Amino acid sequence: MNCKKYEKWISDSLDGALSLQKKKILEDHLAQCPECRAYQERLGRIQAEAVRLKITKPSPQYWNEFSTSLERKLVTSEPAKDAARRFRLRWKWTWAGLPVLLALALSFVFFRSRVQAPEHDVFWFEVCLNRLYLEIGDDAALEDNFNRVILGSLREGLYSEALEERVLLPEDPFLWENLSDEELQFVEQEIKREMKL
Amino acid sequence: MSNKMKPFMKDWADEKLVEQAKQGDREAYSELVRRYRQRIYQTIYRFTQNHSDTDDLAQETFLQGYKALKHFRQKSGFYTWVFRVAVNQALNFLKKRKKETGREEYEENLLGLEQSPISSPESVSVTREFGERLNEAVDSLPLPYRSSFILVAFQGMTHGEAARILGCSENTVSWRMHRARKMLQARLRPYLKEVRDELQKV
Repeated sequence: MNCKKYEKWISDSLDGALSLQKKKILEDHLAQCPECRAYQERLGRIQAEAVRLKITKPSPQYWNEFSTSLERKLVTSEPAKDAARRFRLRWKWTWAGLPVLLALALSFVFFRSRVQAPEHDVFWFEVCLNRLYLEIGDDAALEDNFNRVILGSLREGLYSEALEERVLLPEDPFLWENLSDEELQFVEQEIKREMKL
Repeated sequence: MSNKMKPFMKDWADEKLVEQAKQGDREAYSELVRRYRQRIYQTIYRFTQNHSDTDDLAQETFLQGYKALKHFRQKSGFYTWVFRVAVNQALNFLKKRKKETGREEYEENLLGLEQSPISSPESVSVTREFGERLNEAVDSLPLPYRSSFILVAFQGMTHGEAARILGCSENTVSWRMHRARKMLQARLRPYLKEVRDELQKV
């Protein structure tokens, strides 16, 4: 007979953890299984001995000493606890103040940069050009050089960019501004011819 | 500690004492200690089998309990909670001791548990020595079985109470009890037979 299930039930019944239904089934099984009855008897003896085995209770004197010793440990554990709490509290305020400090620092940097920054970006093309015009002023030689060198290189650059990116040159104001009368007449003729006017 | 106790605290429920103790009232905690120290002591003693280690571990249990009290959310009773601390202390102590005594010896114990009786039953007075043999046999059970057996068989807890303390399911406790009993009866079988014969003679 396979009694493994009943062995487990015997153990449960000793702990009062067996349902009434299972208890009834177990009793029926025990009535016809001598091995399980013997097993139950052995476990019963162990259980009875476990209940019977008493530990010598410590004396009241022992408990007095126990309490005194524990009290001393509890007291000594508290200063450390307080110190730790104070330390945590201090850091808590530091952490709480950190976002405020950070916000202040960021706003300072932001406003300072606003004050120092020029109205326009120094690398803005028009600003650069205006500065050059101011620098040239009434100096004819400088203006001549400027037209020759700077505008020449700009034109060159624009042509090369136009080739690469297919920019429509007639939309570029620098082109028209710097064309001679003859060139303009030539362009006009070409436009008329293309438009068949 | 007990002599400083405020008399009215004796009537307070555990929950109220815990609340007071959480706010730093050591006298309230002392009352809780007074209520459970005996049972805690007995349980730890079942694990250690000596008074010196039991004394240290019981003190440590209540000290740890006091320090950790602020984390206690009172989902279970103080009794269950402090018992869990005590059992953990005892199990950690036994694991440490097992390491110190050496793995080899431990394995020999486990092997002996399944295979052979402790010593010749003829050499001892059966009924008198049976308790000692039972203690020895329980002492050599693997820790999970031993802790379940101590709480349920020695301390009279239900499977549910033991499960809450050990942090496992009731079903696990039930199986551990079954396995523990099987190992114990295998080991104590010669003595059990002698006890029965003695009783029959009587």
